[in-house]
Amino acid sequence: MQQCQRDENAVNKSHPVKASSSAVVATIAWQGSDTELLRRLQESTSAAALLYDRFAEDVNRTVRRTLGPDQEHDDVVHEVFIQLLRSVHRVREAEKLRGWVISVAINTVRGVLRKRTIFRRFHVGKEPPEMSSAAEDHAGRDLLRRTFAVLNRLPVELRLAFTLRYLESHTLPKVAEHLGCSLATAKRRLKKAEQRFTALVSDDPALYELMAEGGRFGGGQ
Amino acid sequence: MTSPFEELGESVVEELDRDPRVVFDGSRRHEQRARLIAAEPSPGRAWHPWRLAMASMAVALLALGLFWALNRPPEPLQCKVRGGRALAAGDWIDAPQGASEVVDFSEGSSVRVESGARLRIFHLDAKRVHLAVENGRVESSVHKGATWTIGAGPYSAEVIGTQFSVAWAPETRRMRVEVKEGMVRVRGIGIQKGGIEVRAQQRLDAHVDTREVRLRKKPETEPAGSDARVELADRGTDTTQPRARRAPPRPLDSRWRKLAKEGRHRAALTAARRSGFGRLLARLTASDLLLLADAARLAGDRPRAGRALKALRQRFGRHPAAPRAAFRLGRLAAEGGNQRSAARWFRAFLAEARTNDAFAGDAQGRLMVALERSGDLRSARKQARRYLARYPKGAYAATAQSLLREK
Repeated sequence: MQQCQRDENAVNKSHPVKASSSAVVATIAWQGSDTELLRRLQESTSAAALLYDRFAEDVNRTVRRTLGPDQEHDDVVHEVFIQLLRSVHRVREAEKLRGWVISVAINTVRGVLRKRTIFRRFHVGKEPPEMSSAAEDHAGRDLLRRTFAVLNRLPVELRLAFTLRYLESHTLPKVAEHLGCSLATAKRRLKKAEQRFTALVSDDPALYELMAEGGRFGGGQ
Repeated sequence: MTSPFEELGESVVEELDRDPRVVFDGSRRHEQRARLIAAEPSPGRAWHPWRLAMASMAVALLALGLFWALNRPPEPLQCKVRGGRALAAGDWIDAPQGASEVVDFSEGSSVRVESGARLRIFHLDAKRVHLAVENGRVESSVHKGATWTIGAGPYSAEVIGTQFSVAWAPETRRMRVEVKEGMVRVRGIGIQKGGIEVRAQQRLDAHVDTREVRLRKKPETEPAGSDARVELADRGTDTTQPRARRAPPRPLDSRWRKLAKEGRHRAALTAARRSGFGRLLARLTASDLLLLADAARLAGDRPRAGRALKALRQRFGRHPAAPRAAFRLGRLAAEGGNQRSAARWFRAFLAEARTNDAFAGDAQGRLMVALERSGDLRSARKQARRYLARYPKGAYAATAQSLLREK
């Protein structure tokens, strides 16, 4: 099972990484209100830094937890901010700014996952190389790899429901809001995700064992 | 109590947040920030809902305007009797004996209906003008633009910007076209497929019964305004030898016509049968075929009425009488209990006739009844809705409503 799949079309490749850490001497997170931030974002032509400083942490966390340890993590984060900058004029209420940012991040991840699913189905693209991990804890690294291997086999919407609920620890209404569906639909998806996940874990004795070791299945098998 | 998934999630998050591949540290922050600033897109223009609505409305209006411009119905031509009333499709002009009437068209054309002649207007719009000389001689001066067709018995003259005259004598069943300028294409009985071109200073004489067609140079010495009726009537004794296309057939007996016009339908049908019903079908004009069909129907001979109507449609498919023949065929089929056939004929009529045809409402109603009686209730109800939308107080409105109520 591949931990993650390469998708060369998944992110915007027109902006290559410029590893110019020297270009930024210091970054100070936005200290003002979201109302003021929104006003400046909608009026300013150079709002990228403001937006990034305010939401970098939220976006990185959301992408990390929904996509997993992915070699395209930085590209996806970049794509999220590009989408945010392109559509910031649509936001009308400042208090919903953060929720909107998270939703855009989830939508971007959804797009990446869908493309990967299609590419995988038609066997297009190369298998990405295994990312080396410097994690010292072998059991922990294995848990991570195997868990996302199972999540990769879930349908995109079920996977998002599962990760938002159990990795991001969102409440069910929040999960529904971020997925853009009703609460009932979110509950249904989550239930299906749990069932599928359980079934898939039983196919992976190592993960089953790892989980059992931690007493996650009622402790002790 | 935490569920196994929550517990798993906590462990995974713990691992994820310290995984160096995705950990959010200072160097990653700097790289992402610098990359974003370098690639900052220009902010999108705000599309407020009202702007979007305005734009959608503008696009819709533009599309509507374009659609209207491309599909607008042609402006009807206006025409009126000089110094008299306005005319419309369906009207006719009778010129009194000893005087002529001039019909002026709004695009500049004019038609002179000479003494004792009768001209009927079949169709009139910016694209097509269809007139029919029922009797006598008409002289036309046609401007380029619309397609002009002037019928005369079983003949028709298609006009392309010209001055010409058409004369028709129903008694002797002779037709004459004389062209002063331009060109006219004449079609009809005895004329080869594709018609005959009659050019400037030419005259075409045609005779229905003998199928003679003669094209010759118009005599220069002929006095202007010579009486065409006399000329056409005298053609039988014309000393010039017509070019015979075949042995002249026996002239048709027209007694049946007289009897039919007098309302003596049985006698008319008997006379027609004596004269040779099949021969009549092959040679009568469209209006005579309608008359014969009516005589047969009213005499109770539906099969012969049907034959006459089908012959009309077969021989004069584009004649204005063809849709009427379809309507009558529908009525015959309905009377004979063949509802499917009736529906087919009424549909043919509705497809061919003008929407404001006097029989259109009747045909729609009869179509609905025929569909219902043939068991096609779904189509009948559909037709009932269509009928009620167009003729809410029509003769078949009650039937249509009861049909819809039965649903």
